[in-house]
Amino acid sequence: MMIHKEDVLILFFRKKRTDHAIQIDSVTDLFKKLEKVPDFIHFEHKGKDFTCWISFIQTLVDVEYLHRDVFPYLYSDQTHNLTEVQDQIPTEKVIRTKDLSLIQSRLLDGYTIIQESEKKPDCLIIPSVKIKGREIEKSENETSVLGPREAFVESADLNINLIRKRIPIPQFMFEDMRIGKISKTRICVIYIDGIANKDNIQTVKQRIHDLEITSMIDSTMLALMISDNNNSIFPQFIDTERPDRVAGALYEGKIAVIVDGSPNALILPASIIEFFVAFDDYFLVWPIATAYRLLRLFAVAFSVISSSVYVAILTYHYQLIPDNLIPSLFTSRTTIPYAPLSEVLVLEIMIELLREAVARLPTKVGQTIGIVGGIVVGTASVQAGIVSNFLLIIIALSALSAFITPNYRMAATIRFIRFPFILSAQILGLLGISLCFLIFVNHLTRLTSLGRPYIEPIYPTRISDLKDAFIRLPLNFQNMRPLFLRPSDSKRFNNQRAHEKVGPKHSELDD
Amino acid sequence: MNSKINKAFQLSPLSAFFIPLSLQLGADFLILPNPLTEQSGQDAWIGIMISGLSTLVILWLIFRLLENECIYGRADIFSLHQRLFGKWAGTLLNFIMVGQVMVYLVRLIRIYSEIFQVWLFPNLPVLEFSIIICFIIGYVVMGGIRNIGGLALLSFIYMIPFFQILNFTVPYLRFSNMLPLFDHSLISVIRSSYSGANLYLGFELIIYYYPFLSQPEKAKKWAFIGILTTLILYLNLTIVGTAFATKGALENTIWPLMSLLKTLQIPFFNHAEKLATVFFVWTLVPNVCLCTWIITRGLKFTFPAIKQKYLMLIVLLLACGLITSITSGNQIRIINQIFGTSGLIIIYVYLPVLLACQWLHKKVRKAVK
Repeated sequence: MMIHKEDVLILFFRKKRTDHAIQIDSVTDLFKKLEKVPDFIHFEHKGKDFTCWISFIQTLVDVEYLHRDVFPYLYSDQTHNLTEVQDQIPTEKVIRTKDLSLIQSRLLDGYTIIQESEKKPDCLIIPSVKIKGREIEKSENETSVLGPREAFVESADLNINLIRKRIPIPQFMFEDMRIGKISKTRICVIYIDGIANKDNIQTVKQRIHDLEITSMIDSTMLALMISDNNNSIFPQFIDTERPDRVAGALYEGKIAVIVDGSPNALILPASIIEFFVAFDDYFLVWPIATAYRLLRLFAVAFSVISSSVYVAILTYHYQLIPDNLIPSLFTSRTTIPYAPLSEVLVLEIMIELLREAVARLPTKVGQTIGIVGGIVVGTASVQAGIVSNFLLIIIALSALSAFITPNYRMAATIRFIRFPFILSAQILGLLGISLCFLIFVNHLTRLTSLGRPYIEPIYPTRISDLKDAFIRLPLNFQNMRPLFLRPSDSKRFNNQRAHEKVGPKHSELDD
Repeated sequence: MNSKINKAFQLSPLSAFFIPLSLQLGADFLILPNPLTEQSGQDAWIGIMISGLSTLVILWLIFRLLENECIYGRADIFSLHQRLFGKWAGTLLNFIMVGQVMVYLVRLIRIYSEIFQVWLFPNLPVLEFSIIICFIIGYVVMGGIRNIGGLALLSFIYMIPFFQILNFTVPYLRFSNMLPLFDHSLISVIRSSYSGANLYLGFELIIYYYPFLSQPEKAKKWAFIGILTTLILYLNLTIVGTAFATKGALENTIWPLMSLLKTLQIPFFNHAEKLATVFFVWTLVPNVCLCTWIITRGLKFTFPAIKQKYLMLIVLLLACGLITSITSGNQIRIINQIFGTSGLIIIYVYLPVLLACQWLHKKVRKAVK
């Protein structure tokens, strides 16, 4: 038996072979590749004086539309060549091209290819994409009581439609990009021309363009790949499923990125404050919105340090326990044979297990597990003397606080950074917690999002951005777009007029 | 070396407020009003005022020195030395200056390790503590001076709630402790202001990072405001200290502020002073980071061939060794004294002389031309 030299080479250079498989040299080659695919339709139409080859992928195209609006013109015998076909077909954006890569990508997107002869690349590309996907539904992950309920779906066109109808101006711009060596996934970079910073747009496009990947499944994956620091546990871009939030961000001068097939849009750049902002804050009157924001901030702080403070105090600084609390704390701790650290770790890991289990299970089962875990395991472990009920309260509260964070990825970060804090509390007590906090803060001051400082309204200090950070001032006070973004047009509206509109103030006493 | 610093690595003018403030506070805010009451008793507040105002004059002088230098290239003390005194003498002077900053670094870490030992963590090993701090310093300084500026700002923000404790002491203050006013001789007030001037040390480090401040004109204003803030804070601490405790009680305490904190009642926890020590990490780390940055920068100026991170490694190892070699409280006092005296000599004697040299150099050059 003869062994070809090429075959041996292929054995050793697998990569090269796969590359070769994707590389297509001619139209015939492309059709040959697709021949084995059952839903590829490729046939010759022979009319009286016009013959053409029609090819499309059945599962991607809207066949009904082809039958109704395209084929009648081909079969009517009034056409003699492709140019006439192009003139007569009542469809916009019919492309005539010889570009092989365009033909390939369009064909696989659900366009229909019409050729005069099978072997020549000269062809017409007729858009006939079948749009069928999930209906627009209520948002599930970012729910809100007030405000719009629509959420993004998996189709990029539909998502753009959702954003676009909220921004009815010609300056609304988006740019299509294709990335992924194999997948050629469609990615749209959306911004408002004249508001968004040009450098930011350029950076985003550059980063997406430079990606060296084969496929792109979801926008969150993209967020990880184009982030400034890939190793940071802090998310650097916001992912949202709410078109209203994206529209709001675009009006501020941010950039949105949509990936075809992903129900999440990315908003970039983002500062850390924005991860703790729920979008309905803007629908509430400012004192209440401010109170909720501060509550959220407090919850985050509590969630991060409460269990580590418990470890530190019970291990080293028992003098800190107030006199009145000593009896109850003592009674709940006496039966427990373990050190505070192991006690905390047991309970923390138990909560994490529960959370992970509930997240993976179907909704109905998940609820049951939640109840079983929360009530049965919690109470049982206290009764069995593994953990103290004092700690149970702390851990349950801190878990609850972690879920207050509106952004899922930030919530995951908050839950994760508890563990370094607990360990450092075990090593150096309160001092350890303080040092650990300092290290994290230092990491945050170093972090950038799209080259913009991550903890921006705090450092570098920007007073005008602080109006919409920890506190949210009334909307007519926020006449400047966030300086953080360095928008091309930094003014939202005329400050004076915004205040005038309220009208001259009358005191009821004087009337 | 390039005389212009890239704008991306520059500090905002506001940093000229936070960094000197944080450096001045150092560990000194804890011992107020002790060093002054030894000499001038209840009139300590006059001493702290005098020394504070004199630092304002010195700061003005430093800015004169640096602004004059701007036309010759990079306006920091290293380039100034080399320009005025030539390569060898300049390098020697640079080394002396860097050595003084090194003393500041070592002293600060050692004092804080003592404070943590006494108030929070009796079993804290100094070596372990200094190694951990040095790791953190390394991590922070790798982020550059902007990062250090950020930490200085945050330390200011975190110290705001800390200093609110002064408000809680108001019901317990007996201002009769401060009477009679002006009871001490001028000599003893001057003496107390001399020991008060020690507490203001740290602001003069601006001679090292001045080129890194963007918009120096604005930064100058902020630097003065920073020193005034320290002055007001120290004045408050002195008045609270003298009004809160008698002279005899003050003599027997090392850290009056901590003793004052002990009286404070807060919800959820006993012993507020233990909880307050947690804040001290924030007055320690930005300062030691800036010192390390200055030292590595000075060494880099002398040995441009070596990378700054390797120099930092050497500096940190050396610092660890020095810190652990100081074992007794007495030695801490000695190193404190060395730092205080050398710092005072630098700011009150050396820098004015340097300004005169600079002026002479200019005149001589003109005459030669």
